[in-house]
Amino acid sequence: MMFDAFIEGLLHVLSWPAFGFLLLGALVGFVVGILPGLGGLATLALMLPFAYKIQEPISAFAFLLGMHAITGTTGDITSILFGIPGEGTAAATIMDGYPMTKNGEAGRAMGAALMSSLVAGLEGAVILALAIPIMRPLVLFFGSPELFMLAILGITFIASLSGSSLTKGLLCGGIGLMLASIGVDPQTGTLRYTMGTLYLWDGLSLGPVVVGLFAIPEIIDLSVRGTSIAETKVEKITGVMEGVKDTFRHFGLTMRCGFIGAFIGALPGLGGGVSQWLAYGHAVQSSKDQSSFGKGDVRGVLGPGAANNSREGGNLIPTVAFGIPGSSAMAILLGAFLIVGLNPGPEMLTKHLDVTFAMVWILVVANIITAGACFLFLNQLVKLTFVRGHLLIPFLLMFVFLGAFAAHNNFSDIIVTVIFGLVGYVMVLFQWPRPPFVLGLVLGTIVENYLWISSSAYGAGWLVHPTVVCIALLIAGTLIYSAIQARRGRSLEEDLEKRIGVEGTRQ
Amino acid sequence: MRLTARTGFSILVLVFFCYLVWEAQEWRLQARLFPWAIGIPMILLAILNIVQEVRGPKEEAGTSQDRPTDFQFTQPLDMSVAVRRTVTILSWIVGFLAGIWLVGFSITVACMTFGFLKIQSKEGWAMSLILTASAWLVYYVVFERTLLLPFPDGKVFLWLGLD
Repeated sequence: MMFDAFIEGLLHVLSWPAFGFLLLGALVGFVVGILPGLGGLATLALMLPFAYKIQEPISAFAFLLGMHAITGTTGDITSILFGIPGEGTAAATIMDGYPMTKNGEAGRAMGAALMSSLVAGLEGAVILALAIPIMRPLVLFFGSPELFMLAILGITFIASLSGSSLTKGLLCGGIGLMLASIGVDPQTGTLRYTMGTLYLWDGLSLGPVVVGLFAIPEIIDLSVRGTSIAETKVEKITGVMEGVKDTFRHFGLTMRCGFIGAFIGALPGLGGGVSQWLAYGHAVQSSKDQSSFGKGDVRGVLGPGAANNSREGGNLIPTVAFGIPGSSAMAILLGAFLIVGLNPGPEMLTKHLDVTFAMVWILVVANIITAGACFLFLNQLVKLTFVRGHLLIPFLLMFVFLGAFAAHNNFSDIIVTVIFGLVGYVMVLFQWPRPPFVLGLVLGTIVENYLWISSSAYGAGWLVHPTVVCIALLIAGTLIYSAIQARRGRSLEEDLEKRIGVEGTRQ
Repeated sequence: MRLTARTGFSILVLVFFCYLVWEAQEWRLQARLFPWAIGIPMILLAILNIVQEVRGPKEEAGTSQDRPTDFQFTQPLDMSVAVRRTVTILSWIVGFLAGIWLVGFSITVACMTFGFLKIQSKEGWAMSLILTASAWLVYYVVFERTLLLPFPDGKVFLWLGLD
């Protein structure tokens, strides 16, 4: 019965008009993913009413899910080429993707991002197919205390990668968490840090902050350099295939990061941004030589690229199986379930199993279509990075401001973008890492909710839950390991300097 | 003891956390639990960071070579040129923002793109005009006509009663 439904799902997706809607959704997702600031979430919300018109469940999901699955992949394109995240969740790809572009390796970075996205997207779909029957106990095992600790572990993990200053990394995570508490407190209605402005009642929105924090410092750098984005001139744009090969050279890393994406995606509340940063963290931590990260290491592109796509499969697991949305986007998709007359939950695993498997196939087909389309246009896109910076800057600025505005159609978002652009500039100047900051901001609201639920349900007792203690030990281990690594790095440097000094004296 | 701009920024971070924790003291427990649970340990960390900065080895801004997980600014050949260019681009960014506020997106996109290309990049008339037209068309077709974003009119039009 399972196999029949599996094949039936594929046939449904490839039949007309479902396939036509999938192509239409792919086109919309492609454009939305590339435009900075216009998130897949907002587009999903805008396109949801079309589900009323479509009505037929598989066609509706082909349009909505196909569109959403693609925004992550195409969001990586602007992150790599211009240092401007096309999606809030695509910011981690900037860390090594943009430096690769500056080194003249945009083709390789894009090839790696697209192929890892494709491989991990398929992995996520397979995980979704396999996990549906066995996921229930695992998801229910993680209560609020465990999810709170998991979020803190994520921030610690990223902070521990902040070069020699672990303290700064942790502080940046703390700044992000504190800024996330701006706005009306959902529990008491207290206005927190709103400075008397109505705009801050809803809190700081992620899009304008991320666009400002990452794009403006890069634009300033581009202007100061006075060159093209790619500093290295090349006669012919190559390297796309090299990036594809990189995916298979580091296949284990791609698959592991894909798994991280799917796993984090399956945990309700922890979104794509979190999985991308954790995957990036894993890529750095699992490498013997970490010195090239942040300067253009392809592994720093493969990790986030993979996690960004596999999370969709993971997100769908709790959404389909229990009606618990794995992310904000899935909460909107849940609306589509109801619009087309389906009830998420056990029915989706019995009566409508073919629809569930059709979703798996939609993810597979959408990922293949995107990768194919991106590879077709890749060379044209990469050529843009060799255009003189001064010609690109006005376009980049336009997209930064339009992207900031498009998030909520609010002028104040543009001011926030500029303010955080300046903050980002100062942070880069004084080497305060931005990734923990963004992760703190992404996780802040969720962390606060989990902290409050844990405290009100268990008092201080949740601190001694066995799983909580295990995660706390893992956090302590991460901190101690990072401190030892940093100390070892410093003593090696001092040793090297001494040796160089001795050699110099001999000569 | 050495006080640098870097240390100044660290002190600013400490002040930031102290303010947020102090501000929360009047709130009900539910509202202040999170800001205090995060903010108080962060104050201690910020103090530790300042101590590390003041007592640690001297390190110029943007020179760290250890494993960075963030991008670093390109090391300029001439610092005075870098400072001048930074101030210039920041002025353009603020100018863009002011333009949007005063005259709206439509006029600002055209004027700032043309202004930047002609004045800052010293491009020829033809190149400046073609690129300005392209930028404006992208703005108009994609954002205004297709996505129907409700761009606000500039304040100037409001003041003149032309909105």
